[in-house]
Amino acid sequence: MLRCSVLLIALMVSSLAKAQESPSKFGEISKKNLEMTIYPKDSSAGAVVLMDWGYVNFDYNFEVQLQRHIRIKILNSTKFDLADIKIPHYRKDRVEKLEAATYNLVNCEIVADELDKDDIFVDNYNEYTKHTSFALKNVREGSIIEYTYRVNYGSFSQIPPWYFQREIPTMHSEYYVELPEAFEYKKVMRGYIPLADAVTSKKNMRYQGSTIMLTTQHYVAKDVPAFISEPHLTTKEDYISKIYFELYAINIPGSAYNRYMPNSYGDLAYNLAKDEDFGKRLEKGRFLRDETEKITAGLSDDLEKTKAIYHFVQEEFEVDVDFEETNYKKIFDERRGYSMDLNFILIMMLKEAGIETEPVVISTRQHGLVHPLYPSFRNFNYVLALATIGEESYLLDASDKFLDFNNIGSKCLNGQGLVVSETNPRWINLRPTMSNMKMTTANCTLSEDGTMHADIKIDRQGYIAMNFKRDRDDEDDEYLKDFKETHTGWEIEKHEISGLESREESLVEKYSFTSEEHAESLGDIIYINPMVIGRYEENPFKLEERIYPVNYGAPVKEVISYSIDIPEGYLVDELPQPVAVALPDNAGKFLYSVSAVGNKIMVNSQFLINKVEFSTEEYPYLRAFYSQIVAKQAEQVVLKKKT
Amino acid sequence: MKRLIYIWLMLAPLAGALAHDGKGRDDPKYPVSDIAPELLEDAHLVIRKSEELFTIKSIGETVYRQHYVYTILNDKADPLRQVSVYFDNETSKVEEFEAWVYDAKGEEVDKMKKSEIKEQSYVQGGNLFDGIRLMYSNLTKPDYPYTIEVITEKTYYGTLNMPQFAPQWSENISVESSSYTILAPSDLKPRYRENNFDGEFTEKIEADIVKMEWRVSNLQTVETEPLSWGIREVVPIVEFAPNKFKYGGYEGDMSTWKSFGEYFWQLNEGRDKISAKTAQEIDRITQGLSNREKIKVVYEYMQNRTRYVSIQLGIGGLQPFEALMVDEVGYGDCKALTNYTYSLLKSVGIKSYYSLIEAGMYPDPVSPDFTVDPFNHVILCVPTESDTVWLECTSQKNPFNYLGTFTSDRSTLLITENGGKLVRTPRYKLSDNLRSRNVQVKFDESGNALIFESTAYKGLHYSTSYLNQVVDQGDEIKKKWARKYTDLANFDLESINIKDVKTELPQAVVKMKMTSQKYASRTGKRFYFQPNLMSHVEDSFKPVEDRKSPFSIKYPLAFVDTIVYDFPSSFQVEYLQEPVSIETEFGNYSSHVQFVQGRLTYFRRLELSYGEYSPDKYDDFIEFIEKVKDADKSKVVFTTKT
Repeated sequence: MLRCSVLLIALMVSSLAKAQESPSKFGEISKKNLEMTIYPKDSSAGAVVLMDWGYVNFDYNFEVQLQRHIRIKILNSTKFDLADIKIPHYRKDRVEKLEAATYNLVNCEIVADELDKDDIFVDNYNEYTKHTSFALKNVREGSIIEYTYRVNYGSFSQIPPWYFQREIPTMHSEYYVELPEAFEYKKVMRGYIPLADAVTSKKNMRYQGSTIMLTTQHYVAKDVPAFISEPHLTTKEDYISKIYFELYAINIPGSAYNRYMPNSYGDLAYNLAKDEDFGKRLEKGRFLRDETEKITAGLSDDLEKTKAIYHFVQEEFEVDVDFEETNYKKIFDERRGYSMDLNFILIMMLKEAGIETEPVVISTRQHGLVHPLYPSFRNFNYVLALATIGEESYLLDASDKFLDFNNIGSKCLNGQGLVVSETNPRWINLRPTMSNMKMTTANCTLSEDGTMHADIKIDRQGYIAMNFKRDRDDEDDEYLKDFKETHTGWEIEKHEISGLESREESLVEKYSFTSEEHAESLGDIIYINPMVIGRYEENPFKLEERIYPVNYGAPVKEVISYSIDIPEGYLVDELPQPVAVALPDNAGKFLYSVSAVGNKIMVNSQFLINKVEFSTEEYPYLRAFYSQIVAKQAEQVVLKKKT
Repeated sequence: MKRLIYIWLMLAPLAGALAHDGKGRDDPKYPVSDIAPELLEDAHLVIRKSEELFTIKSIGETVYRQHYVYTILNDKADPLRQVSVYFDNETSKVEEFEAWVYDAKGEEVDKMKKSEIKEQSYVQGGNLFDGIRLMYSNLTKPDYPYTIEVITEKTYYGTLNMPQFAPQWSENISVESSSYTILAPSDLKPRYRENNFDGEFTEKIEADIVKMEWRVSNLQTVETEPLSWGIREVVPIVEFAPNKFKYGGYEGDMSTWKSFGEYFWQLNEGRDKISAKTAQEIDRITQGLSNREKIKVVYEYMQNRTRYVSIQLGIGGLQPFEALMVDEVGYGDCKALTNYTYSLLKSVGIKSYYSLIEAGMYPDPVSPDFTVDPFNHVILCVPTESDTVWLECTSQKNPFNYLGTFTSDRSTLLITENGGKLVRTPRYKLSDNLRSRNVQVKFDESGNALIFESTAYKGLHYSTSYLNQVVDQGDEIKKKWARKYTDLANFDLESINIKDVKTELPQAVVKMKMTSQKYASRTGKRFYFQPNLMSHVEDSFKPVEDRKSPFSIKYPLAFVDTIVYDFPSSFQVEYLQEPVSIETEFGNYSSHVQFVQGRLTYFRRLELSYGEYSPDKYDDFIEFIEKVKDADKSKVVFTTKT
C-alpha cells in the first residue's frame, strides 16, 4: 500500500541507534514482590502487572519490531489463566527471542522455572493469523511470571497500539517508540488515566558518513487501576487507556515528501471526494438513470422525488456482509451489499434525479469517537447520505429498514459526521432526532380479594420503537412466549403487538392480565402497589463513584398514566405524597403523583432525561435521582373497608 | 478433555450420504411449497433430507459421509448457513466438502467454490492447544426461507468415533426424511441402541458386508421439557459403538465395560513414574499418617503444586501426559492431573483408580449392558479400609473427597489392571445440603433496617454458592460475592466475614452486617415489609401440556431461616401473615411468624427431596413451587402513631 523507497533509506543507514533496554533485566525478581499477598492499592485484584515494557524500533531492514517484557504477580488462583499465554500475530510476522519463567519462593529462596522451547506451540490459526502459545511452569498463588519476546512486523505502516490499562491493575507500564525522524506518525491517546511521563526527544546518529535523526517517544503510566465496565458506556475502546499511532508522512531529505495522512479533516474530505473508489465512483451513476426516472415518474417536487428514491432503496435492498462486490451494477442487480454500498446507490440515484447529495462519513457508537485532531480514515466506519433541497438538508440512511425519512439510527448518534466534498467539506452534528419515548396506560380493576385485573397499552416511539421492531422482526411469537414465561404469576389473557412489520405504523403493545401480586387483602384493609408495571425496582448505578461519563445516546421520556377502580365498599385511607425531582440544569425530571377521584385511583408518572451525556461530576446527582425514584415508586396505597 | 468436543460435534448438525441430486441444473430443487404445513409449525429449520453413511472399511479406517438438505425458515436457523467440517490431522481427514444454496422456489442461487472455503484452528474455550481444525464457509444468504444442500465426507483413522443418529438434535426442527446407514464387514459389525426410535429399520448381509439402515420421516418439532434430561427424552436417537476398534494406533475392544477399560489401562501404562525428589518429599510428608490422612496430604500437595491447563496432544487427546512431566511443569488437564495424583499415591503404596466420568449437572444415564463412551472427564477413586475417597484433581480449591453437582451420583468407569469396572459415585443426602440462616434485624423509626446475618452453607450449598472461590480471598472479593448473591433488593454491606469450617463435607459460615434503607416502606402511618428477608425461590417452571418425560430433582436441598425483628416501641402490629405449611412428595415447606413481647420472629423451612417423578405429577410440582413463592412474599403491616 505504501509506495516508499525502502531500499533508498536502507542504503543510507544499515544500523540504527543503540537500543533501549527494559528497566529491569530478565530474571531480576524482587523478593518483596514475591512475598506480596495482596496488592494494597486494590485488594480485590487476583493479579497485578508489575511491569509491562514495550519498545518499538526499526531493524536493519526497516521493518518495525516490538520488544516486550512483562512481569505479572499472581495473587490468587482466579488469575492462573494469565500464565497460559497466547500471542496472536500475522503469519508472516516472526516471534523471536521468546523467553519465559515462573518464580516462586521456596524456603525463602527464589526458585526460577524456565520455559522449555519444546513447550511452545505455534498454531496456524487461519490463513492470516498464527498463535504462538505456551503455558508457564509451576504457577502457584504468589508466583511471579515473566516473559519477553520480540515480534518483527515486516511493514512500517503499523506501529502496534499500547494499552496502559487492563482488566487487572498495572503498577508500571512503559512504551518507547523510536523511529527515524523521516517517519512521521501521529499519536492518539485515549482513556482517563494521566500519564506519569510523556517525553519526546531527538538524537543524532552518525552512520556511514551521514547523520540520521531519531525521534524517541517515551510514555509511562504508573499505578493504573483495573478497567471495570459500567452501565451506559459507548464502547470499551473509548474509555480504556491506550495509545496508538498512525503514519502521517515519510519525509526523506532529497526525496519526495510522501504524505499518508491529510493535513486536516478538510483535506481528508477533499481527498475522499477525489478518490476513485469514493467520490469519483459516485459520479458514475449513469447506469441508474432509467431506473431513477421510473421511480420518480410523475413527481415534480424534489422532496417527493428524494423520498421516493430513499424508500425504493430502503425497501428493495438487503444488507449482506458476506457479499463482497465492487461492481455497483451487480450490487444494484442483486439488490444487496454492505450498508455503505446501499447508501452509495442512494446517493448515485439522488444525483441522477438532480438532487444535490453528498456522502457523510461517520463513526458508529460501537466503533468509538472520532479523534478531534488527527484526520485518519480509520476513524470512520459508516457512510450516510446528505441531500440538500433549497435551504433544507436531509440526513439519510437507506440501509436501515426501520428508519423514517430524515432519521438516523441510534448506533449513528456519535458526535459529528464529516461531509465529503471537494468544494465545501464540513462537519455536521449527528444529533438525536427523536427521544426514547414510552407511554404506558393501564385501566385496572381491583377485587376485594386483592386480585387485580389490568388492561395495558404501551406506546413506544423513537429509537426504542425502531430497535424493538428491528429485534423482533417476524418474531413477535418469541417475545410473547418469553414474556409469558417471565411473568408466571400473571394470567395473561391476550397479548398483541401491532405495527411490528411496518416502518410507518406506530408500535403498540396491548395485553390484559389478572394477578394476585399487585395487592394484598388483609382483613379490612387492602394494600396496593400503584405502579402496576414499569416500576424502577433498583438503581442501575450501583457504584458510588464513576470514572467514565454516562451516555444515554438520546433523550428519554417515559410517561405513565394508570387508573385503578377500587372495590365497592372501600375508601382510600392513605396515598403516597406527590413528588417532583429535577436534575440540575433541567437535565432530567421525575414527577409522580397518586390521587383518588371517586372510586378511582389515578397514577401519573413522568420520567425525563433531557441530556445525552452526564459527566462524572454530575454522576452523584444522577445516582441520587434514581434512588429517589426507586423509593417513591415502592410506596403503597391503603384502602379501608367502609364501616 | 478432547472427547467432549467430539461428542458435541457429533450431536450437532449431522446428516449425509450419496450424491448431489442427479437432476438437471435448472430443475427447481426442494421448493418450500412442497413442505407439509404441519412441519412448518414452530419450526426454525426443516430437514428436507438427510442421509448419513458410515462405512467401516477396516479396523483402522472408517468413512463418514453426510448429505443434507435444510430449509432455513428464519434467523434462528441462519447460523447453519455457515457450513463447516471438523477434522484433526492426526485422526481424520476431509475428503469432500460441497454446498449449494436455493431460494424459496428452489432456484439455485449459489454453489460454494473451493476458494470460498476457509480453514482455521478450533482451539476454543479453556484450551491452550488442541489439534482440531475447522473448514468452513459462509454461504450466500437469499431471503427467507431458503434451502442449503451440503455434502461432506471424512475419513477417520480408527473406529472409535461413531456419530450418533440424532435426526432432531434440538427444538424447533422438523424432519421430512432422515436416514443413517452403516456398512461394515460382518466381523466389525457395530452394536447399537435405539432410544425413542419408531422408524424403519432394515438389515441385510451381502458378500460378508452388513448393511443396516435406520430411517425416520415426517417428524414434527418437539419441545424440551423442564427438569427432564433434555431433548433426548423426546426425540429418536440411535447410538453406535464398535466391538473391536483401533484409535490412535492402539487397538481395543469395546464389547464390554471390562474390555473397554483395558484399552485405557494400556494407554496409561508406564506413565506413572515420578522423580526421586518428589517421591522422597511425598514420603516425608506422609510419615506416620493413616492411609486416609495420607490420601488427603497427597491431594493437597497436588493441589498446591499444579494448575489446570488444557493441552490436547497424543492419541487424539485420550492419553494423559506422563506423571514425570506434570511433576516438572506443574500443570496438566484432567487426565494428566488425575494420573499424576494416582502416581503420587502409588509411590506411597496407596492404590487408586483412574475413573472416566461424564461431568455436569445432568449426565446421560449409563447402561451396564451397552458399552459406549459418554465420558468427558476423569477423576480419581481411592478405596480405603472404611470407605471410598473420590478426588477431583483439576481444581486448587476443591475440598477433599468432594464431588458436588459436577460428578456426584452417577456411573463412572474405573480403569483397573483387570479392565474396566462400572461403579457409582456417592449421592448427597438432604441433610448433607443444609443452609441454615439466622438473622437479627433492627428497625428504626423510618423503617431503615440494620441487619446481622449469619448463614451456614453446607454440602452442595457450599459449592453452588461458589463459596470455595472466595473463602480465602480478601475483603473486596468477599464483598463482591455478597453483592452478587445476596437476595435483598436494596442494601449496603458494612462488613463480611467468611469462615471455612474445615469439615470433610464442606461447610462455611458467612456473617454479614448490612443496612437496608427503607426496607419497611411507609405510606402515612403504616409500614410494610416482607418478613422473609432474603430467601426467595426464584425458579419458574413453565407449564407443559401433555408432558411426556418424567422429571427429577437430582440434588436434594434444605433451607432453614430464623429471622428476629426488633422495632421502636411506637410500632404496633396491624397485620401478621397466616402460617403456611405445605407437604408434598417433592418436598415440604412451612413458614410462620410469632409476635412476642415486641419482637417478631419469622421461621421458614424448605426441603426439596431427591426423586424421579412421573410426567403426570408435573402440574402438582409447579403448584407446589408457586405456593412457596406466594408464601415467600407475604407481608406484615405495622402502624405507628407518629
